[in-house]
Amino acid sequence: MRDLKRIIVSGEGGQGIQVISKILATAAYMSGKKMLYVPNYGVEQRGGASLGFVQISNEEIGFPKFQNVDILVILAARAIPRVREYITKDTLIVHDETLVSKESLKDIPNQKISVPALKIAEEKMTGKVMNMIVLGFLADIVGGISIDSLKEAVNERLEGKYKANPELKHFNERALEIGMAGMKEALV
Amino acid sequence: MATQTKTNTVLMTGNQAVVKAALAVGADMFSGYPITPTTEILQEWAKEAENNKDLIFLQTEDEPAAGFVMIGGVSMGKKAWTATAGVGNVLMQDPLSMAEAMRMPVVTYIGQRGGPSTGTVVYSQQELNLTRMGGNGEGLRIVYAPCSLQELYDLTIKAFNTAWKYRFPTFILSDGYLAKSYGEVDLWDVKKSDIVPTESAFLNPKTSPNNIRNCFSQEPELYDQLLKDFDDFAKMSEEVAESETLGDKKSQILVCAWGVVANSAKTAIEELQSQGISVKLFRPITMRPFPAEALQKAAEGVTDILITESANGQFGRIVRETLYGVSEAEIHRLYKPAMGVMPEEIQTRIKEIKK
Amino acid sequence: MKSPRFPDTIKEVSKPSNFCPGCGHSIILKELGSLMADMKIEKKTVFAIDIGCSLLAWDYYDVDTFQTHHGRTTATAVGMKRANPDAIILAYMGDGGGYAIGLQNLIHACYRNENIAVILVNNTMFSMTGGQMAPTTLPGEVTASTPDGVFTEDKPFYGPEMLARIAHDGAYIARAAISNPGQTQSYVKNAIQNQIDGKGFSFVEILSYCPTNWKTNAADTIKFLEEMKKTFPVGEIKK
Repeated sequence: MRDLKRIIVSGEGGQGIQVISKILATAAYMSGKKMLYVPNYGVEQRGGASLGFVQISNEEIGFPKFQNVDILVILAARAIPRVREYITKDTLIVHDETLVSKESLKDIPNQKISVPALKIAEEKMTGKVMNMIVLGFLADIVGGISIDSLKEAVNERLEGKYKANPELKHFNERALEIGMAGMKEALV
Repeated sequence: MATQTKTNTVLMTGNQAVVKAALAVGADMFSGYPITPTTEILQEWAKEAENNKDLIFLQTEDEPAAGFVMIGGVSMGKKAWTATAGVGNVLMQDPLSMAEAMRMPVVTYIGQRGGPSTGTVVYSQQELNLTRMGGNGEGLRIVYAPCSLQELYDLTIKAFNTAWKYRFPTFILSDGYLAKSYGEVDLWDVKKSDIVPTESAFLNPKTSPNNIRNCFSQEPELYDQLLKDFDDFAKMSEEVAESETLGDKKSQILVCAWGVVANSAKTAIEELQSQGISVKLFRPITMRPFPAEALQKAAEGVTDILITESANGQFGRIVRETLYGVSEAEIHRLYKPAMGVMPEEIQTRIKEIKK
Repeated sequence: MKSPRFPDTIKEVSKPSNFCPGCGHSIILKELGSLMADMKIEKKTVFAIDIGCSLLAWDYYDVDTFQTHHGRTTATAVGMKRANPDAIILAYMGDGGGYAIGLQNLIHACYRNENIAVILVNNTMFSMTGGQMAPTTLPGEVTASTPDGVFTEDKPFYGPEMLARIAHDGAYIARAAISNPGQTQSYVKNAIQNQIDGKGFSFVEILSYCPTNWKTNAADTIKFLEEMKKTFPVGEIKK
């Protein structure tokens, strides 16, 4: 069995789903992994469910999409019907309880981790860094992705915004660290 | 043909890789019309042209205009190209048919999307017939089918050189999944001496005054022209037809797949290999000219052939025609028109065949 | 040496040409040949032609000539000019090619002020296919596809006037009639000079004869053109 992690990040338009997916893939690459990322896309420019397909491995990756997901992140309830087909009995589901209630996932019998990303973001910094906390959580579960790679990948993406708003860089990096550390606690 | 000199690995999307390849091999003119999933090609070229005044860019009023502007550019000695998809590919057949008749070395990138009609903007392998044989003629075209981001770069470079060397319209037949994928691509340099040069058909002391046409008055005039073109096409085919056969060469099960689905099949057969099931894969790299002999060779001693594609047998018909009277193997089909074919599905089917 | 009546631009081996007796194309092409010779532009010019009777001009000149698809001459000419701005690009087409199938390309070339010269020959019908209705067919005119002479209650298609509405400053737009060769040549010359001067889109519609499909004798052919001039006013519309 090859060492391959198949990840879907799902939510709705405007949550930064594709940003998280692409940065996760980039950070994995920076940490020496092979990766491939493809967004789902339809005719809508905005709105609707949004899914990012990320594969991370030590070996070359072939087809950009996959049938069975190993780690499924759900950040909006409207994404649930769109991701069901990828779930197997081994899929680990990660969700934010503020955004996706336990109730809405009750018919999915899988192992689930609820992360209070939005709550932490709003309490400690700003709601906008929610997805950075998720990204930190996610990178930790995937494994083999360093915090430095994550920061670098985010930095590369947001360089322009960071110049205009240095505080954002601080918040984002703090959020990534909380994400990575918080996940460890959550797994205990 | 072009050889690899220096490595320069960068993360990018498939569409970006195609633009980088075109630049590496000396393309200097692009005309196009936005259509998902190839719009980024137009946008990327627009960006490049903004920073490099030697590059010509025109967003036209429609696809036929894009194609005829491209042909106009080529006729004046530019390495012009375009990109389109789906119904845009349908409309583009008007200029491409003329390029075919007049032996214009144009390069067209196709990002296949679901059809018929507007279908989906996402993905398919349903533009195979149209791209290989579209137009009111005999398909005097060269069609490369990349299966990965890296091949998008490599085969785009090859497509430009092949087009200008043999003067048949040449295609990079990609799809929405590859176009939108993001991953690493080695942007190796193309040596100047490896780039096939271009020449203007007009205002050229060697050929002017040059009167060229695509309309003939009498049947024999066209017939003679076609016989010459078929002869050139046959000679070209011997040099250009390309494929790969992977996996256990002695296996009695052969998977036939092309483009990104072949990549899915590769993953599937590697996985099966690790479970002790031996399978081989035949994958055409040029969809036209079709590497028929290589397929016939791959099918030798095979008892079961699984044809899989994201169309309802467009590729399957080519495979079956090529093997007619040559192979007795039982044909199995995994056709998923306008849907991805996942490695898991291919594995499952092969296990069923094995039973 | 060619006969003194024919300029060097005209290819001898392809003459007599394949145009019908009395066809306006022969007159226009001869005028254009003289003009290219007079302006000494024959070695800088590419003549791009359409489908329709204009395609018969594919080997009319000892000048680079590119015969394209129906309605696509304008787009091809745009590509040629963009690729080589020093070249003089003449796009030559009929009213069917320019105003029906190729109108989209024509409008946008004008709208973008592409620096090409378009010469459009208007004989009120699709002539190569046997005289069917065109956008320019006159009210009441009997054609192969309007046998009762009824195709619209409205006006025919005013191409130059329409283009003038969207043309940029610097564009040149005119309508000439073949019955006045001097004027025709001077308008076409203005159009070519406009391109040489880099001012942008230039367009001349030429009202022309089609005795074959009009089914007219010499006298009636001239009369028909006079009728056309009443509907389509001749003159420089924008300069």
